[in-house]
Amino acid sequence: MPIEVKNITFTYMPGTPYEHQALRGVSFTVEEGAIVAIAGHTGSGKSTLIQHFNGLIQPTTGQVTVDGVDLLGRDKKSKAAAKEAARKVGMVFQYPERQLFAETVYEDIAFGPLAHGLTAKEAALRVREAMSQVGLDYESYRRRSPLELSGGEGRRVAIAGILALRPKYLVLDEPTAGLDPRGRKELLGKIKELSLKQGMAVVLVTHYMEDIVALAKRVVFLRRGEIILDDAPRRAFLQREALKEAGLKPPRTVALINRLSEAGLKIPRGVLTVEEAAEAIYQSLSPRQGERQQRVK
Amino acid sequence: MNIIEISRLTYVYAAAKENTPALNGINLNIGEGEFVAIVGANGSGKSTLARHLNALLLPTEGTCKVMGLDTARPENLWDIRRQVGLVFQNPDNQLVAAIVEDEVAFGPENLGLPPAEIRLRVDKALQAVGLTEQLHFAPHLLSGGQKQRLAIAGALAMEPKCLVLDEATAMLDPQGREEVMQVARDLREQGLTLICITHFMEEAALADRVVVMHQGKIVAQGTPKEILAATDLAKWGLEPPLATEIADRLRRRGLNLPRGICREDELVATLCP
Repeated sequence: MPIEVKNITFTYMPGTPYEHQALRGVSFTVEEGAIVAIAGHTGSGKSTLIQHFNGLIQPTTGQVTVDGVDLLGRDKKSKAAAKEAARKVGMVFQYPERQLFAETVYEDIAFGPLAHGLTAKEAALRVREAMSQVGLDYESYRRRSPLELSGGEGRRVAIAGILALRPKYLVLDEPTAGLDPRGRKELLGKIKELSLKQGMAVVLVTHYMEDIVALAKRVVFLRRGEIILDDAPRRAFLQREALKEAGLKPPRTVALINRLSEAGLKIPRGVLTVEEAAEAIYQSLSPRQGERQQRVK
Repeated sequence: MNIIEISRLTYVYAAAKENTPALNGINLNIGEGEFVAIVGANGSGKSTLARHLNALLLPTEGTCKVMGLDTARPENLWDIRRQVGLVFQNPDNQLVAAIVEDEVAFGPENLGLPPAEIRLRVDKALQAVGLTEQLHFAPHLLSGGQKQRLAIAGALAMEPKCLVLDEATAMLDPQGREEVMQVARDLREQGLTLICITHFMEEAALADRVVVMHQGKIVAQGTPKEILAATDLAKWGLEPPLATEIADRLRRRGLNLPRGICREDELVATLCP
């Protein structure tokens, strides 16, 4: 059973001069085990949308269900069910390392499981499990203070704190912002592993189209609170009009291929990764190799 | 003339338990009008170094001079802060006023300038970053890229000699990143000294000089061609720009491409002459 968002609207501060409709009739499904990316200009409604996934905010109209359970509980019984369902959705906000607060990495990660009523022994298991999922060595990190970690390490601790709750769906808001190239690559690798090995569904909100290339099978473009495109990245990033409308740029690889094509190189479209781009460029040049080699010499 | 002269600078955060220096024996001179990119992994000391450039942090050992003024001498503080403007990563943490033009006027007002001069500076700064039409907007209603441009305008209104962008594009969408880098390039054309700390090698490729930091030390510096296109960046947790990586791959397939390609326009010009 998926997360289903059915025709939701959301209005900030209704009835005031600051009234602002952030979502205008969004329908959207996160299938089990899927990796979906949400992209859009600042203010397009990305963060507002994902906060509906675990009931942090309730839609003004429309409905959100997780595994078939409406997150808006209307009576006591359905409220309890809604709370239970919302817990299946783990939410990692922007710069989550800034929310680390405990004295040690262990205590920080154990906080969630303990708050959810697990015993110390169960929580200990969860901490080990979550640290291994994000690639942090248990013995060397558990006693360290979260304050002395690097940006990438801190972010992994914060994500482990969510994973320790064993979510079925993991929602990440700008997970790689501010990380150095290696930290970014490693984190994306870990997220991919979670999806492939554990079957966790991942929703990724990002400004980095390269992250979408690296991870997502599906991307949604949001524009002023509406979904204007929902497709595989390979096709989505060829939609120049949709990209422009959403205020987005294609990934660097696609932009480079577009430029080369405009400069006269006969080159196939639809490449995504660096490997594919290099291969496509090579193929398009190879008939002219003899001629080129001459010229370069 | 050098705007920045840093000599044997070491800095230790008092809070760090083992007292490992965040900066360890840094020597760096930056000339007037130069565009320098500082790259390095998280925790390599880039931001600590940036904070020395306008005396937000003072060296534990060694010296940092701005326009010949030692940052460690309290009487130099205001002159130094006027000469070096800093823009940080998070656009929401550095704006103070309720209206765009007030935001830009904040600095000049504190200098006690006459109102006509303030007006002039505000208009000039907003024009430089392309926000003239948003003069009366509330900053919180601007996009991320606009907010960062506003922060830059606020720094420019002080008429600094040097602008430091500390990962100023890290939180922006692709359009915002491009807007900010365009403004940076324009300012540089006008002769402003620009120091850009970044994780984006494509941004570093635009600089005159790239400085690589690793564990509190400067481990390499040179032109983008020398550093980004001809050095093993992986050992410092970095990656080459896309143009370099594509060129490397094509070379490995047997294409005869010149060395030192690190910008996309160079790659396009090489492949499509």
